[in-house]
Amino acid sequence: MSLSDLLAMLPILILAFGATAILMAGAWYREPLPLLAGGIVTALLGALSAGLVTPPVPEIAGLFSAGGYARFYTILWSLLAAAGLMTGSRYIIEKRIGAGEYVSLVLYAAAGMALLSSATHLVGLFIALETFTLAFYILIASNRNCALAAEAGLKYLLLGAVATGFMAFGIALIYAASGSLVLPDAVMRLKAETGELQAWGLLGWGMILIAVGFKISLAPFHLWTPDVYQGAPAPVTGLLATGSKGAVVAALVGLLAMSGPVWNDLTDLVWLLAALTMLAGAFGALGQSNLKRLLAYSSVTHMGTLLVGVLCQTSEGFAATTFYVVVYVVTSLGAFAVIASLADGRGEPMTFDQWRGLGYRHPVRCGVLVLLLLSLAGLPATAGFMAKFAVFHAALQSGYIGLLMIGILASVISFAFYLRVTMLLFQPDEKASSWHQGSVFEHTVLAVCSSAVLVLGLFPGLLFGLIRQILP
Amino acid sequence: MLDSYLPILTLIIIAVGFSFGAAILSRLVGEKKPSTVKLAPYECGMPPVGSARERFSIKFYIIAMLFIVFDIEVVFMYPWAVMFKSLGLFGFIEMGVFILILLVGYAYVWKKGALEWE
Amino acid sequence: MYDKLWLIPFFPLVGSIINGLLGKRFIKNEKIIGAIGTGAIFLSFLVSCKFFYQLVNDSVKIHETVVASWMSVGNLQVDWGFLLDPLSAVMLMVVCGVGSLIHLYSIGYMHGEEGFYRFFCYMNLFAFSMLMLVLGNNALVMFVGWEGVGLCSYLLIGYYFEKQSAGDAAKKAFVMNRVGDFGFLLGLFTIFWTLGSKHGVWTINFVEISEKAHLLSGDMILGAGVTTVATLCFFLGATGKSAQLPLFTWLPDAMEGPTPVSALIHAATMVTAGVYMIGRMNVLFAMSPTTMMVVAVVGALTAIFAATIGFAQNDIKRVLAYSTVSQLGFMFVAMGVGAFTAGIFHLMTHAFFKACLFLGSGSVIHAMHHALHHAHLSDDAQDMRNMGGLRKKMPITWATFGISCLAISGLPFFSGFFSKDEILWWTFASTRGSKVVWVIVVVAAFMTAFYMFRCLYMTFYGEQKTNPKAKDHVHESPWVITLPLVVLAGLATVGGFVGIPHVIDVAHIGNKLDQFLAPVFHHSQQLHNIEAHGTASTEIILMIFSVVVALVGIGVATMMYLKNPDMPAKFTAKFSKLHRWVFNKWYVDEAYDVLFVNTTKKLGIFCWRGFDVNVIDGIVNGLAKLIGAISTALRHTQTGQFHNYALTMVFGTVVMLAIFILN
Repeated sequence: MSLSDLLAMLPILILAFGATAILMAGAWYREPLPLLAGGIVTALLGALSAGLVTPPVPEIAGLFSAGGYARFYTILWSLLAAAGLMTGSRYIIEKRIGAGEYVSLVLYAAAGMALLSSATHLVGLFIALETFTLAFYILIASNRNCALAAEAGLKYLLLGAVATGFMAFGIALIYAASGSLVLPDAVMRLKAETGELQAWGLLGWGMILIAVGFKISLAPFHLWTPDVYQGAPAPVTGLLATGSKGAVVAALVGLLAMSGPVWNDLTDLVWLLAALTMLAGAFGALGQSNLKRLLAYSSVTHMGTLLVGVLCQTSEGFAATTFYVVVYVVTSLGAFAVIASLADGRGEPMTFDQWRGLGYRHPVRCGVLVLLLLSLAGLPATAGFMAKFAVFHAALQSGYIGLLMIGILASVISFAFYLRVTMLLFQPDEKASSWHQGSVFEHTVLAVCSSAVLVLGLFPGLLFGLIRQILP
Repeated sequence: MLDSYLPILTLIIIAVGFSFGAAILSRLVGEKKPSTVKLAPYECGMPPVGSARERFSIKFYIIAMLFIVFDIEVVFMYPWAVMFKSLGLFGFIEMGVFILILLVGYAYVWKKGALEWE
Repeated sequence: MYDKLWLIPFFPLVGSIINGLLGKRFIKNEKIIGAIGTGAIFLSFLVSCKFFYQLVNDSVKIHETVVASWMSVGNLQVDWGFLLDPLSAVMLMVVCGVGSLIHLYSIGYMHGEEGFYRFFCYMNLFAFSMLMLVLGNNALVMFVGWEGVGLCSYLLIGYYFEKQSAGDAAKKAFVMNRVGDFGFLLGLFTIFWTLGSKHGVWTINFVEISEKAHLLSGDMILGAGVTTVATLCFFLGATGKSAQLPLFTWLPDAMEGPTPVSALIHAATMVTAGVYMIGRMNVLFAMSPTTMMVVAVVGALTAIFAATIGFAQNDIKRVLAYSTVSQLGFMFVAMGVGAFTAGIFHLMTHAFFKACLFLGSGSVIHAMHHALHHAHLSDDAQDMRNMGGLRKKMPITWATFGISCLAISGLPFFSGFFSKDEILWWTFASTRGSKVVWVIVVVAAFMTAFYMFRCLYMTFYGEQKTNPKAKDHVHESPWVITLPLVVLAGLATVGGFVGIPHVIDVAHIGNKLDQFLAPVFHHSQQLHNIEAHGTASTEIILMIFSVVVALVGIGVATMMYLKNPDMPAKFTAKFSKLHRWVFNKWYVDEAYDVLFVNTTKKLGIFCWRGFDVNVIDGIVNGLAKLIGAISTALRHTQTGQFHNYALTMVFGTVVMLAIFILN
């Protein structure tokens, strides 16, 4: 570790030390607003430094990359943290959550996600993954007066521990088989091996895949998702649904793009996982009558689609997946931000009965929600369409016709439940009650998300150009 | 390579077999005359007082957790101490930063009142 | 020289746009709207006159100008091009001239109607479309006009759209025209494709088609000559647009539209588009004697068939409508026997006298309507049985109507005499003619004279049978209505002198029209040896014969409707069955309903109820239900119990490992 390493790590350091400083400040000073503002500023500073400070070394201590790809995701997750804090502001104040703790945990999580997306070493990967997972364990259950939240936190903790076990075991097996934990190296050595050892190494990758499957909720490891999303407060769910999943996918794409076709022997397995996930998500969402649970299943489907992009293992597939991650993060965050912005003393509007006719009470935010849902559904002219199109196109080029058909089937089914919510919002209903008007912070996040969805839908080339440059 | 683990495997099998064997054997052979004293939980030879299912104060857990955290972190200092000379000034500063972070955590815990018993 | 041809359709288009966009909200004033509409078409008329004069004095008779390229797709090159030759020049004069008069007339006739602006918007749009049809130098521009006039016809028939019958009539006209248009397109495709694929001439330009048509002479398609198939298809299009058998039933119903519409669209111009189209493609038609024969026979049958129906109608406009169908039949007979000039000649004279008749009837209806309205009566203003004796009340209308009746009956030296006589002579004497057709046409001419005078007598002579309360309120129409009547009656009288037959041309004026149109028609007539040959004495005898026939028709009508007013009733009673058939238009509509409309409806209902609802919806809804069921089943995996989740994870892991190991 040298000074240039430290300079290369500057965004992460800003996030981590900023978080620590806010944590300490929060212990003495309990006013939530300044702490929140400090957190948002820290997150933005992190993004800024990631964008402006050129890293002097391409790799930090052999654990993390400092290349364009890593920086891209560092910026994305820092901005996500800022947005998460903005959507969570009212939640902290009204539920009297410790502001210092909440803010610092979100920032720690962002640091963890940024590290994960830039991991080049399996131990780095593990540390980063655990960093933000730990933060989420606490964030989910941050409202100690809510039994559902506690249940969600416990479920996430217990299943997450299992997943961590798989991850550690997988890493150990890979090390055992290849004698290396550095990424391209471990794969190269594994390829050079034959017979039993290669099998052990592949088994290790399989274990990692299971851990990843838990984190990004691939079927059949997805069952926790609806319960946790429902129980966790919407601002946290927004982060959990976007950042924690996106960072894992980003790491996966980074690793694969870096180390070449690791998965050739696991292709069948990944194929099966992707197909199962897309269908399970689509079918699961159909029967839901709770928006947060529906969004949970929707995220399951999206993760399945993302896996299709990853499976292609072509540069086009990786580019499509990266684009998809960004679009998914923006859209999903926006959807949860709408829920968060409506929450008031009664809690968050969740059941369809609560949402019915809300479009007449809160036309702007429900309009935004409709836009975001349509983007999630993949309606043309929204970013979601371009993302889905890019992934399916990559799948077509790689010859995964069967998976493509399943993906399209899942998309068609998913239209049904997204449109159902859309219709629900604008059904005339006398009983529809008014919810909170939302804070400036929340409205800002909504404005940013919805305009991003439109801009990326109409001019996808802007982002695609950038992604093609930064892919490792 | 795996052959070299054979003694360990043998040991494991013998150990497991011995412990289960002893337990089963005593069960089969031993005479059973249960009484209140015999059935009572063993607690350092003292007669048990009250129920074992008692609620403990959360403070025990907090203190225990804090102890483990700080205790384990100190363990990192042993390898550092061994390599102190070769690491030089940079290693010293790094450990200083490490201790500082621990101190910050300690200060936080203190300020939050986790160390106060009342 | 001729590059400003586009001005002619341009003015009505602009007029239509102005009235359509601004008429309702901004202009509002009827006088201004009427002035814009009439002025637009009148400007076109002036420009047409200029070009007409220029063309008459020009040694080159065929001019094409291209305004812009429309599309260029593969081998297909289409321009927005205009063609001015004697044929289109004559049509221009008729369309713009008669059109201007009818627009002027409409200002008076439509006075106070709701949607006045709409009427003029559609009328100008119609004029634009008709001019595009006439001027187009290729089949596609013509087709734009062809469809455009169909659309305007639809809009104007349905002008009183709040009336169920008007809506139905508009729909009927549109659907029947579409059947014909289908034929037009098929014919066009056949020509385009055969010329292109077999001879490398990819064109839809009329001049080029005419020049290269001889290449097609040996080509066969579907076991018949290409020209025969294509021209039969074109003729199907013509029967739709020009209301010939079997697609004629829409025209009488089209009388639901305002009377000026009937005069302009359904008598003078649009319905003659089929005749014009055959004239435009005379080279192709001349190549196929079969088609020519079909055209002549269909024309003759239509002429007599429609005339019989005209006998028994009491609605003044319906009589005129059947008369129009019948007269169009005459024109098709002319085209069919190769008397292209005669056909166009009759088209022109018919435009004069039929427009005059329609406008005259409109004048009567207008007056009747006002009188009945004034007396708060709901009697039918168009029923001739409510009229009679209007001669004194409406002298100008009577005089012009009477002159037109003489013209249509073919009395000597009225315009209809010359054109009809030329048709009869060609039918009798042409190399493509037929004595049988001649007999049919002569009978039709006799009937024409009869029912037209029946109409005249019932309307203007005898006792006034109008309800006494309204009787005295009937009076002559204002000048905007009578002026066009007078002009048209004048044209109906003298219009025939442009085509004086050679045999009676004592002053040696010559057949001007024939000479003028010669560049368009003579080539194909000479090439295929189409001519009328016979002695001058035969021609004169036939001429006298046809005049006698007309006079007999008039005489019978006079006897039945003027001298013995009871006779028709007795006659009807005696032949009640026949009368019922004739009165009900030979039940053609009913037959079509049974044959086509109902079967199509049944097919539609089958497709809807049988196929769409049961099969398609069944599949769709069934799928949706299936997916719903799967979803419900999957919900059971979501127990909310942590240990179940963990178990599932472990199970998934085991399965994955199993797959992994098996691989």
